[in-house]
Formats: sequence, C-alpha cells, structure tokens
Amino acid sequence: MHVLVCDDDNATRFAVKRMLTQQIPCTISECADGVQALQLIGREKFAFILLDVEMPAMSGIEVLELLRESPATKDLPVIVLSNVRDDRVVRHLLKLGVSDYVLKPARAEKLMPKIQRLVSILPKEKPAREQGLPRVSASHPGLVVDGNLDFRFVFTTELQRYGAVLECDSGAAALAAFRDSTARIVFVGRELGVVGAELLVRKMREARGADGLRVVGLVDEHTDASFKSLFDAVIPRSFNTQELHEALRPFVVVPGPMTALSIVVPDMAELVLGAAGQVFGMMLDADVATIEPQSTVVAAASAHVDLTLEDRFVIRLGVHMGVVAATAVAARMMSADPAKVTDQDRATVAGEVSNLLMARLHASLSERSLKSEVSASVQADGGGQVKQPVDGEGLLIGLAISGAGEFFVSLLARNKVPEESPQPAGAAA
Amino acid sequence: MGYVEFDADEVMQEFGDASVVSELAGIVRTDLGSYARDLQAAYAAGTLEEVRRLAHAIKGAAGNVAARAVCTLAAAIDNGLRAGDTSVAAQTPDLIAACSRLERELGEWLETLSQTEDATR
Repeated sequence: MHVLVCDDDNATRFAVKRMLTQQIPCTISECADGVQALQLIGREKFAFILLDVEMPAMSGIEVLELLRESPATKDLPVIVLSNVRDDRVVRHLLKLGVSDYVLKPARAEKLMPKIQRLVSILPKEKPAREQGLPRVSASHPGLVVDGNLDFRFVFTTELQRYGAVLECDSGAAALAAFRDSTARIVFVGRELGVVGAELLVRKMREARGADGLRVVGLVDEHTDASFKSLFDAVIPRSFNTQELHEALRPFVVVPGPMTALSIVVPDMAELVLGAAGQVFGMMLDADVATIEPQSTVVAAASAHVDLTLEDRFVIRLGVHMGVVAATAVAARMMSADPAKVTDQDRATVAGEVSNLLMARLHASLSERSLKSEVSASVQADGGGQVKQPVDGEGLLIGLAISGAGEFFVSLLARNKVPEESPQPAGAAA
Repeated sequence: MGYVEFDADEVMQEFGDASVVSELAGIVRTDLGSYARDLQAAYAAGTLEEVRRLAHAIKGAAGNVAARAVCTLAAAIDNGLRAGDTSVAAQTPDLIAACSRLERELGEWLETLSQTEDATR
C-alpha cells in the first residue's frame, strides 16, 4: 500500500510517517504543498492521502477540488489532518468527500483508528489480482500502438524480449490487428490518428470484455489524469531501456533464457538436427534421426562448446555419446579397430563432433544475420549422467546414428552478463 | 527536569522511543527558530497576512511537542487575524518570546535525551 503524506509542517510529516509505518504495511511519499501533491498523484498510485489544509502554493482544499474533478482521482480516499477548526472549512471538506477529518497535533490514538477503518474498506492490493491478468509471454502476444516511430521501436524491442509483439502505428491499424489477433494485453501510446485512444480502448473492451483484456497506457509527465483513467495501468514513456525493462515487469512473463532464446531462434532444435545431419552425412555417410531422450541419460564421453548469440545469450552445446556410438564413430574417424578404441579416443571424438556441430550451427545462425561468436574452445567433460535441463533453460535432443548407436546433444542457454567468468561443465554430471 | 513550555511526558508517552522523540524535538526546535525569525520580520514590516500565516505554522509545529501556551497564543493571532481582528497582532512579541523560551527548553531536553541515550549505550 502506497500512501501520500502532504503537510507543510516537517514535524507532523515525521510523526505521521512513523505512526503509519509502524502500524500498517505501507510505503510513503511525502510533500510539503499542494502543487507537489498533485505532481506526485499524477506520477504515483496512492491507496489514500493524508492532507493538510493550510499550505503554501496550493491549499489542501484546492488540491481536493482538483482531485474530485478528475475521473482518475475523484474517488481517491483523503483523510484531512489539520489544525483549522473553522466550521465552514470543515463543512466544505466534507462536501468534497473526505474520508475523515482529524485535528492536529497528530496523535496515534486519534489518527490511527481512522486510518485503520479506511484501510479495512479499501479494495485489496492489486498483486494478488494481477497474478491472473494477461501478460506478454512466449505464447501470448502483446499489441503495441503508438504513432511515434522512434518510441515504438524502442518499446517494441524491449517488449519482444518476452514474446511476440504486434506493432501498429495508428488506432485504426490497431483495431484491425486486434480483431485478427489473440492479444489480450495492449499498450496504447499517442499520435494515434483518427481512431484516438479513447475510441480504441472502448472498441477493444466491447470486443473482448473487460476481464479478458488488459490495456496499458504509455504516458508521460504531461499526460493528464483523465487520459490515464482510460487504462488499467500506465507505463512512463521512456527511451531508457533500463527504465522500460523495470516498468514492463508487471506486464510480462519473464522467461527462462532458453524460452527467451526460442523467441529469437524459434527453430533452434531443428538447426541442431540439421547440423547433425550434415556432420554425420559428410563424415560418416550415416543418417541421424531423433529419438526421445529419457530424463537422465548416460554418456561414455561428453564435450561442450560455448557460443555467444546476439550479445544476449551464451549457448552451451554439449555432445554426449553412448559407448556404442562413441566407439563406432571413433573407429570410423580414426580408421581403427573398434576393439582398440580407448576412453581417450572416445573423448576426442566427442570433442570433434561438438566442434563440427557448433561450426555448422554457427554458420546457420550467421546466414540469418544473427550475431554469433564461438566464445570458448571445446572442453572434454569425461562421461557420466546427463540430466534433462530445467524447462526454459535448455534442451536435450536425442539422436540415433544409423548403424552406430545413439548420442545426445544438450543446449543450455543463459543470459550473457558482462565480465563473464568461465562456467563449470554444462549438463554433464 | 520540569519544563514549562511543553509537556515532555506526553511526547515521550506518544512516541516512546528516545531517539524518535529527539528527532521530532529537533525538527520542531529548528522550525520554530526559523518561524520566529520570520515572524519578527513580518511583524516589523506590518505584513499581517504573513504574521497570520506564521502564527498558524507555529501553532502546528508547537502542537507536536504539546507546547500548549505557544499553541494558544499562536491560535489567538491566527484566528483573530483570520476573522479580521487586527488588534490581536499586538500579541506577536509575546508569541516570539514564548517561541524563544520553548526553543531553549527543547534544546535543554535534547541535551538530556542525548545524555540518557549515551548512558544506555
């Protein structure tokens, strides 16, 4: 719960903040005059306001009158805390719909029961309700409409980290796209043309119903409160991607890195399969086919190579060969007697295969103009158990080589962080 | 030590914690000093609306430390001027003097609170 304390008396603000934070779970913004109060109310969402009457610049009464005129704040609960005892003032405040009127000095015994009573009738906090609200995810697209190309580009680029985004430059285009899409969350900006925000929001709500749709306004400090009231929530317009990243959190499902990677490269598994087909076709004149891996598989030899993609992900490609496959492939590659293939040979061949697979994968990604770079040379991991990666963090692909057993390719994704230190072995345990 | 201008027991009982009370009293003392100086200037200049505004501010600040005499005097000036009775402005020097006494007592109390806090550490 977020509360605004507006009073020009420093000691009163201090005392009230202490009472509030000790007795109810809340965060507090504070200000010393009515102008600052209106600025804060325009920027932040408050559960209620504690408001003084006589203040410099703009009085509490003037603030209340403005709040009651705006659809966005007409019902905002206000408790007046003042030492003005004038009957006419008190009557006027009551007419303006204040929740309560408390005389100064601020004393917990007088003030807190009134605040507790107000808190008990406030709508419950949003987070619990928001759990079920639509968010942009890999399986749920978002619709963005904004006439400002530069802002739309920055915003859409950030939103695309979480899922598919339909982009429109006008209200009319958005309405058409909305009708043809499954989008349940829509981000509405400005410069929308003939079909403005008000009409667009109304039409979308009519089409999908209030419960199945979440409409988010993209607003700035000049946006008036009545415009903001059109939306279920607002996000400040910003070209700062870090700020947007933070602001978008309540409206997106933050995916695991593999899920995020699947948005950038939806057919990564197919690319790996294609690479494996080429490698085995060229090297061994053998075909590969997919098999269903168990949750845990056992490898006689494993090796991995890292690749950095789009400066965002590090993909660890691991090759895990069963003893039959590793022996057969080693014997073929080295033209050796299978009976004489050693563990070292099997490890070498796992490394060789992972290098070849990564080279093909790297080439395929480059062909798509995706920025990729092999960021670490091949590492042998020995053998052992390989576990199916956690959902959203990786893939385990099972492959059968015609006439030469089975092997497995693991793809583990993680978000690239600056100044990376070497990582421990991937899926191999 | 007994204080004449404010009710230390009431403040202590209300806020409980000596460090909180010290902070509150410190804020009131600083603000009162500033208001009293401005009040002196406004009274000398004969700007009665400013006198009224400052009397109102003093009433609010002094109330936090249960300084009833200062509150009563400040309220009389605030209410009187608000009602158009300019004669109440003549009580301004008394209010300034009362503020000065309150400021001094708060200073002494803060000193005592600080010694108590040091002793309990």
